[in-house]
Amino acid sequence: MSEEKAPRSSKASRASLLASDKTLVIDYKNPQLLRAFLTDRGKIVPARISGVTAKQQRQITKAVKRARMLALLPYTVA
Amino acid sequence: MSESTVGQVVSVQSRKGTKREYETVIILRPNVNKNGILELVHKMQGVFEKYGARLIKIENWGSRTLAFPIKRSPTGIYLYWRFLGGSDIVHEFERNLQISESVLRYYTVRLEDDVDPDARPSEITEDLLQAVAEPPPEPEPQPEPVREEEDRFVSDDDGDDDERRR
Repeated sequence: MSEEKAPRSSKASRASLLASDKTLVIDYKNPQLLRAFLTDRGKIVPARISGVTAKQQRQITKAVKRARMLALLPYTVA
Repeated sequence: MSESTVGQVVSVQSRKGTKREYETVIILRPNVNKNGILELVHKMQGVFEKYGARLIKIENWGSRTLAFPIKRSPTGIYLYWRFLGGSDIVHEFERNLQISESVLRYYTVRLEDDVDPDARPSEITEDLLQAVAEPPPEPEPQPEPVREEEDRFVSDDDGDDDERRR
């Protein structure tokens, strides 16, 4: 009663950040871009939520893990 | 091996006369000064020369706040190196980095196999090496991540049963 659930969007929109700008390259050296694919707790967002393609998701996963190693992105956010 | 590849490790796959392209990001302790960086660069250049490798590019990304402290250091100076060589240079390069006390962390990525060394001219000049010791002119203001995307993810993190919380 106190918690109001945000209405779930009927269809996950496929319009991802990467689809709108084809020039974007997924790279571990670009943490600003990768941050868009992390939750506020630092977890990688599933592709079904972010709407990226499977190939892009594989690239994102790899890039995020590399960026974490270089302390460009956090492993966890407490 | 009967071929004359002594002193130079060539993988079975690699084609003759080609090299591999690597890039390495090094995080230095924040208290390393200009001379410390120059010293490291010159030392590594000696290593590269000895192993027949070639530095293509070197960049100083400046001092950045680390996402988490490394060896108790909250910040670090990022150096980016790109070079051509065989697997032996990576091994030797990283061994030297491990010895160096100013290095907090390093990470090497293989970019490409079978690169023709002539096709990748080195951008390294003495001026450039001097410039590496200086941090980049404008310290990057942390740009805001794309808001609308983030908001969508945030709402998903706790709203429904898509993801269970830890």
